[in-house]
Parts: sequence; structure tokens; C-alpha cells
Amino acid sequence: MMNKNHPMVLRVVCWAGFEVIIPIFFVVAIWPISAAFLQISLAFEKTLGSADLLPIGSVLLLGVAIDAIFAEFQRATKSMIVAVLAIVACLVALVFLFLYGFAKAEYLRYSFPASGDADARMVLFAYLSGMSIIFAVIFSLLIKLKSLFLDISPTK
Amino acid sequence: MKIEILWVLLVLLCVGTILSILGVWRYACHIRNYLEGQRGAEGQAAADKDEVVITNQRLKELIDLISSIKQANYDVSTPILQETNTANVQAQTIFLERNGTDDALVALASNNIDHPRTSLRRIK
Repeated sequence: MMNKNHPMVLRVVCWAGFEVIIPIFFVVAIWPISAAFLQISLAFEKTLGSADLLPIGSVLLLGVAIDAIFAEFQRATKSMIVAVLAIVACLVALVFLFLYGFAKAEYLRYSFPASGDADARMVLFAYLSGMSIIFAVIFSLLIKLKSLFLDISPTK
Repeated sequence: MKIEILWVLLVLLCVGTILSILGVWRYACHIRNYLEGQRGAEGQAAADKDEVVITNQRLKELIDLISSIKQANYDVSTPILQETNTANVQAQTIFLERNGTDDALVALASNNIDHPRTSLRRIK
């Protein structure tokens, strides 16, 4: 049975597929590919240490925040939570971009050793990069679901 | 930038992620409940309009079942069986399907009059 709310749920699913999974997959997939097939040492640090996931997370957060703010303008009942979430998303996105510049500069100046472990800073950048994209995806999903909930809520 | 600041940032991101997961779970539950409630309301509206949402074969079986119960001298004072004429039977069968009393009727049809999910009684 078709439901009039299905397009809204479908919108979230399409967002998750095309804006989240595909871009992240193509960046993260380099790590197992380079480790398993190309036999590159320190593949994790070399792939994620460049902090390429930070701008993706930043774009995710900014896009969702802007969508939420414009959707909020069109609602009769305003929600303070959406506004706060959108502002937090924008601020975190700016922090991510600032961090990306710093991490990228450090990454370019650093030369990986032929054997042994990588510098602790590169490992930290890799973890930070991975954690930032996880946070960005879940926080964006939170804003999307809150916005969707307000759209389908009877108190609209 | 000192590396300690980055560690603090990493911890903050972990905390933020956990809180976000809780929020996502909460709103996902809200949306699921709302959509389920709306489906129930749509079903009730369809029942009120006597729309057939079950197969014709199943409908015929249920009509026969209700008729057989009436013929077996059961007290049909329970609201779902008060009127079993064909004009109203479609909405009633939908109601029965949605409220899970179909199995109770089946049990009654096989002379299990003490089925716990119905208030039907044999007339003395």
C-alpha cells in the first residue's frame, strides 16, 4: 500500500546512498586495496592520514545543515532543536576544514619510513579522520531524521 | 598545533558520536511509530469506507465462517458480529483481520467455545 510519506523516507535513503556511502566508499576502499593487492606498507596511515575524509565530512555536515535551515523556514512551527543542531553542524564543519589544512600540511611534509611504524601523529590523523567521518555521518543522519520527523509530524 | 589537542578532539568526537547515535535511535523510533500509526489509521479509514483490502476468496471464507457461527446458535452480541449482513460484512471482516480475531473465529467454528480471545457464548 503506497504511503504519502514514502517519498520523504526515500529522500533519506537516496541521500545516504549517493551523498554518504558512495563518496566515503571510494576514499576508504583505497586502504584495503593498497594493503591487499598493491602490497603497500602502512596503508592505513597513508590512506587516512592524509585526512581526505575530513572535507567530505565537512561537506556532509554543511549540506545537511543548510537543508535543515531552509526546511525550517517553510514550517509553521519552528523548532529550536533543529536550529541548534544546524549551528553545531556548521561549527564542527569549520573545525574539520581547519583541521584538514593542518593535517594535510603535516602529511605532505612527512615522509613515511620504508619499514617499521609510522609517526604517532600520522596514526592520530588517521584515527581522527576516520572518527570525524563517522561523527559527520551520524550527526547528519540525526539532523535529517529530526527534520523528517518534523515534516511528517501532525503538529506541523 | 599540539598533539594533545588532537587527542581531546578525538575524545570529543567519540562522545558526540555516541550522543548522536542515541538521538538517531530516538527519532528513528518516533518515525517508525508514526508511520505504523498512520498505516493503522489508513486501514481503519478503508474499513469505514467498506473497501475490500483482502482477497475475494478470503472474504468468502470469512462470510461463510460467520454464517456458520450464527447457524450454530452462538450469541453474537459481541460488536464485531452483531451485524453479518452482506452490506456490512466487508468492513467487519477487515476489522477481524486487523484485530487478530480470525483465529478465534476459526476456533469457534471447530466448537472450541472457550477460546480466550472472544466473548462469544453458546445460547442456552
